[in-house]
Amino acid sequence: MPPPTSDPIQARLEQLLRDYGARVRRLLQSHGLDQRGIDPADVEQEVRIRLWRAIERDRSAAFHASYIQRVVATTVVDALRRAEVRAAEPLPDEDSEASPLPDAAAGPDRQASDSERMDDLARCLDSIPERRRLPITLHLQGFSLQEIADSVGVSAEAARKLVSRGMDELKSRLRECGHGEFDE
Amino acid sequence: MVNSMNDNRLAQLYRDLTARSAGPVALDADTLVAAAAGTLPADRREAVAGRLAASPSEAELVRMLAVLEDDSQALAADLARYDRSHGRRHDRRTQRTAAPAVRRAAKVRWAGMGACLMAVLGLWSTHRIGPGSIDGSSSGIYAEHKNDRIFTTKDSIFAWSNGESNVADGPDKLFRSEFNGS
Repeated sequence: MPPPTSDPIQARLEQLLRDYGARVRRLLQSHGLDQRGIDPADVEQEVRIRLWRAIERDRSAAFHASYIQRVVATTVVDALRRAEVRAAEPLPDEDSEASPLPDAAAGPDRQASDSERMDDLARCLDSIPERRRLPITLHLQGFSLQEIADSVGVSAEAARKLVSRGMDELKSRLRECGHGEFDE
Repeated sequence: MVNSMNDNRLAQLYRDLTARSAGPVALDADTLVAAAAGTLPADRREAVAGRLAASPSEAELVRMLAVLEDDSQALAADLARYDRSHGRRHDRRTQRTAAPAVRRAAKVRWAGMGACLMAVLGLWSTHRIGPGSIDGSSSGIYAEHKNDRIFTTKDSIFAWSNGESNVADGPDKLFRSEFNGS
């Protein structure tokens, strides 16, 4: 990043990028992307640097919102890929001091139970026809009815019906697998 | 929303399941931005939706980009204003620095034109005093064209050819009168 400047217009530009970067960092945290092995502060810094370089490279260029969005998306994707590579690297030796401690909140019983539930959930979802499965999985992934409607290519009302009926069907199948507590 | 409490528990379980099996990020930045803006072409919508449903990190990123869109538009508008302000300042600075340079360039231009004029006048005057320019006769400053006689066979001093002198044998006419008293 450039050194602090006394030029008011330059200072204003720096402030704009700082504010935007801070907004990106907050959204990364609120969307839980910091739980995926990336550091929001690093991403914020990288977004600011990339935007700054783009502005310096071509001052006469018009920066559309979609371009700025792409800069953010590229930066986050790069960070996620780096995190995946780090996660795939072999664990340190046992005698090294950085050996991770097991999660105390998740005991062995709970971990086994969650694993069993996940396997049953995957089986139940696989048994639902594709056309109804996609709206359910998008809903479970946190997309709104309108977003699901846009993705599947139906109206919002049709998406609501698809999700509602699909969830009922999924719960019914889970109940058959012995997971009645989902229906409480 | 459908039975929200159970949906939340199911959703968390589903996200844990997909986080375990999603694999590396598969969608590129352009696709993610288009998905967030709802501008994906119809023939790609379902495939992208399927990927987003199977990858919690990409799904979160798309949702984040959708929320960030207003901020990105505001930043784009601010940058356009910055560009105009910067452009005006740049123009004023250019004008300030350009004025003396323009004056210097004008001086150089006039000096160049004067030098050209002098050169033309010089050539013209030289041509006027050249040979035959006044009365059709040769000027005294030009040497008359004659053959070189120093090393030709007409040279009476060094004109030897194959050891024979071209000079006719005879008495020395130069000192003759002084030695014989005639």
